[in-house]
Amino acid sequence: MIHINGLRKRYGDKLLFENLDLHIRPRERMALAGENGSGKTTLMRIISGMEEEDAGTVNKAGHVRTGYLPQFLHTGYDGQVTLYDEVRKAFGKIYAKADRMRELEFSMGEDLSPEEFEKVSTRYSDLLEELTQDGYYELDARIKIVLFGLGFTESDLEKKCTDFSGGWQMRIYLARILIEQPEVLLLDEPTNHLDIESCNWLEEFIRGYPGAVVLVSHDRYFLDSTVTRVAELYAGELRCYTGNFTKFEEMRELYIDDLHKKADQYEQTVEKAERFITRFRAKNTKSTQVQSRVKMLARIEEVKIPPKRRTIRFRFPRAPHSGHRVLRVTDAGKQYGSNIVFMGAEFEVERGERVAVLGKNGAGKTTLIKIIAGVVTADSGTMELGHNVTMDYYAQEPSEVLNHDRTVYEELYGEAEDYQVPEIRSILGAFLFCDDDVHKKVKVLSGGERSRLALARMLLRKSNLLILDEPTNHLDIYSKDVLMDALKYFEGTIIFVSHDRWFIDQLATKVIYIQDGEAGSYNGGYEDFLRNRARREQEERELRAGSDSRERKKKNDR
Amino acid sequence: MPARGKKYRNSESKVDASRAYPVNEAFDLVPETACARFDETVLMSMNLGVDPKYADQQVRSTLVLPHGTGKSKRVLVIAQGDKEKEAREAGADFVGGEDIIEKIQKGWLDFDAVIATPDMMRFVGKIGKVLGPRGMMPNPKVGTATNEVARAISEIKSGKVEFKVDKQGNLHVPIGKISFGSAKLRENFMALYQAIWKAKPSGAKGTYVKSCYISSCMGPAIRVDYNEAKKVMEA
Repeated sequence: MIHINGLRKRYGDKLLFENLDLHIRPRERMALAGENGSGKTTLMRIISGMEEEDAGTVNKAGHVRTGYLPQFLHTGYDGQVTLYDEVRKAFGKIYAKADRMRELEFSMGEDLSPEEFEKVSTRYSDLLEELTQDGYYELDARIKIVLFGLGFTESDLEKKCTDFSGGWQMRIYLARILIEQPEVLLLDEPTNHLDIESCNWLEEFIRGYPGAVVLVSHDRYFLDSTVTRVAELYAGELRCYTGNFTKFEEMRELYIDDLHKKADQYEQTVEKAERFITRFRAKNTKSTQVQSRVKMLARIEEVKIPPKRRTIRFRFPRAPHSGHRVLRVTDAGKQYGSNIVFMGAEFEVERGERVAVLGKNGAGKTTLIKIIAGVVTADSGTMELGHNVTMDYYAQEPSEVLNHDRTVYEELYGEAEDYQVPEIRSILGAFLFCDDDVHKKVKVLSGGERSRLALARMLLRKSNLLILDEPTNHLDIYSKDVLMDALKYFEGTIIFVSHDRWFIDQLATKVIYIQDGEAGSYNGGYEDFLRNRARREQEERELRAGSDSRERKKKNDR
Repeated sequence: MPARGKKYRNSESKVDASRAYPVNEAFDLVPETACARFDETVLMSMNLGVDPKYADQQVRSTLVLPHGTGKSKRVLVIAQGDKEKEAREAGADFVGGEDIIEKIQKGWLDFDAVIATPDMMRFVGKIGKVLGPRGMMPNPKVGTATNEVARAISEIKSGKVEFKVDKQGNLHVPIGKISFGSAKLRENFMALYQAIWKAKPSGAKGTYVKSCYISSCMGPAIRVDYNEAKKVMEA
């Protein structure tokens, strides 16, 4: 459907890719992989026609439309437009046809000559057929399936777009794209703003999508269950692997091993040939053989090994020991106006625990975390920190805590009280801010880079309670692995919110679940928690079914 | 494959799935394959070589079957004044103006076909969302948005069927009941077959009729030799 040939793109002196070829087939499920800043987003923008290529061509079949969901969105919705109207805009043309049909219905009743009536009724019949063909009568149902799947409720439909928070505005945009059903969907980190339920729904939706889907995501679970091909952008080259993400990682490793072997062989052959040439260059009886070796050397192709992947590497500094009980929350509650976020939250956190705070979007996870971090005060209840607890807080949007006018280096230097310049530079180096990168202003950094900077800041202060609000957003998969590793080695306590199921599964030893204004805790990992919840729901269903049948029996007996 | 009952298996054994039956033979066989305890409807299914994605490859038309469909349709006429009276006299089941539109908006749907006079179409538009998905929206091309109310009613009552290809180019049309007997069913079939050829769109390329089957609604499908049917039609 889309053929890309010999694509080149350069930003300043940085070459993103050159001679890039790619074919996107109908019903393709493809992931674009690559580290932060490797050009995934740029490639998507070029495919969607939002950015110009420096060289090469992007050929699309005539009927192909692309729908692109950007990573960051400056929506600027009209203040008066409701959610439902905004999403309906996806079908602007169809609704225009319906309006035209309404006009014709009115003119049919007017006093027309037989010729005029014939003309009007033919046009009307054509429009009616076109609209039926376009699925006009099923549009409402289609809109609702997508909106409800993404977590909106019936009462949200009439709300104004501007009344929704940033994450939800992103969902509105996503909903619009999904409803439009373009032939090629280009989604740049669609799961960043979705909670687990909506993620599951989106997975299902993508699996059944009638067109092609190209995804950038750092959620392993999500990629594994949706894609069948992975294209990796690496060191300016694109390489495709068939299979899901896990398969891709295995195959990539094999490929790199293979390359290493080939490179060794190449070196050996070259060395041997060169030795032969130097030794027998002056010997006339061997001149033919020398010549043939010289030719061979000119012919043989060099095996290039892609440079090693740069990943962040760090460990959290050893923190002073805290008391056994790190945190006790008693009867905490919070409400915004008449909206009760949660009430009567009670739980304790002990040293060394990794607590995952779970719940739907808007359930109050961030509010709870902010209360614990002291950013927001609770309306009721108490929160006691244990003995010798020092905490550090990583906000959901790192931009909130970063000063945009400072440079990367200044941002860290301002926080470091007793650090020397080399120490700061080595921390920055570990987070891949090398050379002149440290003099970049915060406002020009990419999403991933901002997250890395915010994490780097956390290393400067020794704390034994880490409070992390979606730390994995914007981080690429490899950086996420390193963060996971560092957190596993961390000796203190962690309370975190995340929508990345792999991350929660790997880390959590305890779960706090917020639902319908109540917060409950569960001692056990994520999988265990899910199993337990499913079992409880099953039991409740059976209990209900049992009492129903007893009642029916009683009625019948009577 | 779902497990089949013995009646169906018995009917199935009478049909040679690998053979295309000539029209006469196929219709002699249909009554034998009907196995249900009620009067089964006989269906014709066809696959046409058209792609309805394109406007010039649509197949949609109506015809009055010579022997009807065997079903009585409840007809609603939306009209006012003289036309209202005309509709009543012509045997419409329900007749009304704006009042009936309000009733439909409230959820009343006890009818199978809707006819409207052009001057009432402005009100019918309000219930487009109700009638549209059910395929009952009055349409001048199909003859359901018309001033000739009496004719429209008698056509529908006497077995007017509408056919339209789906996205894959398939057609499914009822052609009567088993109780009609082979001869009547065959005549209905031939009338429909002729109408389908007549409705062949200008944009259709290559083979037009790709396959044709008839079956009783609970019985197995019988492949019809469509080339032979065409010869019969042309004769």
